[in-house]
Amino acid sequence: MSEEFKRTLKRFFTNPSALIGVTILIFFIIIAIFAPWIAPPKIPVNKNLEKARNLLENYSEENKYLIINELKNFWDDTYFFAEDDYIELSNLMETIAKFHNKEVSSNELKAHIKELTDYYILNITYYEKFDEETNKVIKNLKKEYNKIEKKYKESVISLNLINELEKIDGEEFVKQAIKVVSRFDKNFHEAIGFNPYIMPNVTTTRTPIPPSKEHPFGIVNQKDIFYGVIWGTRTAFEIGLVVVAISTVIGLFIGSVAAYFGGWLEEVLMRITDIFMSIPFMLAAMVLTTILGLGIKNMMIALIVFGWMVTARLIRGNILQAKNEQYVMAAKALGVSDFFIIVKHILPNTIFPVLINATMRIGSMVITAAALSFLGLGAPQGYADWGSILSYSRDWIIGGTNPTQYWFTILYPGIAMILFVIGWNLLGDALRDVFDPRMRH
Amino acid sequence: MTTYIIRRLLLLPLIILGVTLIVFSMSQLLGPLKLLSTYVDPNTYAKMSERDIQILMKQYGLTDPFPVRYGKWVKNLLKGDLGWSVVGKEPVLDALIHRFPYTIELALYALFPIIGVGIWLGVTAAVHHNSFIDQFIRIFALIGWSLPDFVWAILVLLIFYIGLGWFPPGNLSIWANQIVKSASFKNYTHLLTIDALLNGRIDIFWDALRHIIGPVIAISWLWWANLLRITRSSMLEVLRKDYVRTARSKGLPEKVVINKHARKNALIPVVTTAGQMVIGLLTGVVIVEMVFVRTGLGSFAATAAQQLDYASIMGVLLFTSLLLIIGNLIIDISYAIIDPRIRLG
Repeated sequence: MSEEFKRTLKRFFTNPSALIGVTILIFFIIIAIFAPWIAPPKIPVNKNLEKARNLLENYSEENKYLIINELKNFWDDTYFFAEDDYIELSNLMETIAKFHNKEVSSNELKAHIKELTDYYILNITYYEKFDEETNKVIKNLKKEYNKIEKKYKESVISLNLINELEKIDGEEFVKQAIKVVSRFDKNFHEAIGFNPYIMPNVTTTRTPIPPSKEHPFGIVNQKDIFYGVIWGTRTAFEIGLVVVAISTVIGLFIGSVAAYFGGWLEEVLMRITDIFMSIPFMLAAMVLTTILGLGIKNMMIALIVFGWMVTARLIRGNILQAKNEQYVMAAKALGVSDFFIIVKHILPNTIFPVLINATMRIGSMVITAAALSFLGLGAPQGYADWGSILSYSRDWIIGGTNPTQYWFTILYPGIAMILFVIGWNLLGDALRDVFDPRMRH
Repeated sequence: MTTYIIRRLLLLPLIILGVTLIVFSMSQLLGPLKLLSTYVDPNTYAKMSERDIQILMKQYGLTDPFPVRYGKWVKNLLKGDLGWSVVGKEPVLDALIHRFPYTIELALYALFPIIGVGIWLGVTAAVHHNSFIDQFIRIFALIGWSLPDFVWAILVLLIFYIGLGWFPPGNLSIWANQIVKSASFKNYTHLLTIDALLNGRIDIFWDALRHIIGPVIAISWLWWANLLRITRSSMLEVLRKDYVRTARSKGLPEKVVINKHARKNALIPVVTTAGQMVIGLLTGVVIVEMVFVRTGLGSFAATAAQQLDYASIMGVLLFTSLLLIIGNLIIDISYAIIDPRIRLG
C-alpha cells in the first residue's frame, strides 16, 4: 500500500498540469488567508474616543485621570440609559408573559408599549402596528429585549473595567486602557454593522478611475477593484468549497444508500435523482435564489439543492460495478467480512472518482455563482465578489465610447476568475490521470 | 432495446409529474403572503388591512392544504394557464411561445460551427497525439473550459462590436426591426433569417445574421472545449483498437484508416455530448442572451428573476425542463439505435 501510495504521489508530482494547478491554487490560498494584510479593510474609527487614544499614545502620570475621565464620558454617552432601558423592558416582558397567560388584556399591553414609546425607549411603530400584527410585534419586542439585555451587561462589565483602571499605574495602566478602548471599538463596529466583505466607497464619482499607486487595479462604481479582487478570493473559495463539499456529501449519501440497499429504495432514490436532473441547472439555481431571496447564503443553498445528482449517480454506479468485480467476489468467497471488503476494496475504488469529480466541479460552480452575481441575483450590492465587479464592468464597457478606456475594470477580476478556475480544472485533470487505472501503464 | 424504450416511455409521465411537484414546491416556499402579492396590484396591496388579506387569501385558495393547491395548479397547467407575465405583459405561455423561436434560431446557427470545428479539433489532436499541435489544442480546450461565459461574451462584444463594429448586440437594427414589425412582412417560421429570405429581403437577412454571429462566437468556445475533449479521448481509445491495427497492417493509407475506420466509431460517444449541447442551447443561454441584449428564453428568465416576476420564472423553468426531458429521451433512444453494443446489451 505504501509503495503504491508513493508511486501515486510521484506520478502526481511529475505531472506538469498538477504542478501548475497546485501552484495557482496555493497562490490563491495565500491571498485568501492574508487578505486583511494585503488589502487592509478601512476600519471605521470612533471619533469620540480619539482624545483618549491620543492621550494614551503620549502617556504620562498626570494624564491618567484625564484618560479615565474621557473613557467615563464615553461610557456615559453610550451606556447611560442602558440600565433604565433594561429595567423598563424587563417589566414589559413580564407584561407580555402575563398577556400570554391571559392575565392582561391586549389593551393593557398596548398601553404599556405606549408608555415606552413615549419615553423614546422603543420606536413608535411598535405601538402603531400593534393591532395589525400583534404576533410579529411581540416577536420583535423580544429581540429588542435581548439586544438591550446584552447592552446592559456590556455596560456593567466596561464600567467595572474603567473603575479597575483607577487602581493601577504605569505600563499596566496603558495596557489595560488600550484594552478598554479596543473593547469600545469592537462594540462600535458591531453596532454599525461593519463587515470587511463589503467594499467601501473610495471616491464620489461613479465613473471608473484608471489604476494609480493607491488603487493599483483602478476604481469602478466607487469601489477599489484591488480590494474587491483580494477579498473576492475568500468569497470564491467559500462558495466553491462549501457548495461542492455539501452537495458531494448529499450525493454520496443518496447514491450509496441506493446501491447498498437496492430494491424499491434504490428505484425511488434514483428516480428522484432523475427528476432533479431533468431541471436545467443554471435556471433552477436562478429561480430558487430568487425565491429564497437574494444573497450569498441563499445562492449557495440553491446551488447545493440542484448540485448533488452527478455524485449520487457516480457513486451508485461505481459501487454496483465494484460489487461485481472478481476480486471482491473472491474476497467474499474467502469469507472476508463485509466491513473489511467495503473499507479495503470497494471504498478506494469508488471514492476517488467522486473526489476527482468534486475537484472538477469546484471551478464550474464558482463560474455559475459568479454568473448569478453577474445577473444581480447572487451577492448583494457592494459585496466583494468577482462576478459583481464584472457586472459593474459590463455597464461601463458596453456603454463606453472608447473600448479600451475601461479595460482595467474587466481585466483584473477577469484574470483572477479565469486563473482560479484553471487551477481547479488542472488539478482535477491531473488527479484523474493519476488515479485512473486505465492510465497505469 | 424495445423494452428499454418502453421503460423510458413509461417513466416519462412520472418524471414530468416529479418536475411539476418540485417547481410547485419551490413556488410555495414564497409563503402565502408573497404569493398573494403576485395576484394583487402592488398599490392596492399596500393599502389592504389584515382582514382584507385574509379574505383574499381564502378567495385564491392560498390557505388550502398543499395537495389541494397542487391539484388546482396542475389543472390550470393542463389548460395552458401559467399565469400572467409582468415582464412580458402577456400570459406566460404566450410570452414563452413568442421568445422560443429566437432561442431556436441562435441554437441552429451555433450548432454547425460548434460541432464541425469541435470534432475537427478533437480528431486532429488525437491523430497528432502528444505533439505540439495536441498540446496547443489541449491548452485551447483548457482555457475555453475555464473561461466564464460572461467574461468571454463581454470580450467578444468589446472586440467585434465596439472595436471593429462588425457584430452589434440586439436582434436586429432599428430600420430592419421596423420592417419586420410592419404588416407587409410575413412571419412564416418566426426565425428572422429564414423569414427574411422567404420575404425576399436579403438586406434583412444579412442584418439578422450580423446580429447572431457575435453570440455564436461567445457560446462556441466552451462547447468546442467540451466536444473536442470527448472526441479526442474517444478517438485515442479507438486508435488503440485491434481493427485499426489490422487496417494499418493491411497497408491502408493513414488517411483512410482515420477517416473510414476510426472516426466513425470514435464519434459514437460524441453524439451524447452533441445532444446535450443542443439541449443546453435550447434551454436558455442565459448569460450570452443577456450580454448581447437578445430576445429569448434565457434573457426572459433572467429579466423575470431580476424583477421578481415569479409566474414567468416558474413558466420558463417548467418549459425548459420539459425540453430537457424530451431531449434526453431522444438522445438515449438514438444512442441505443446507433451503438449496437447497447442495442444488444
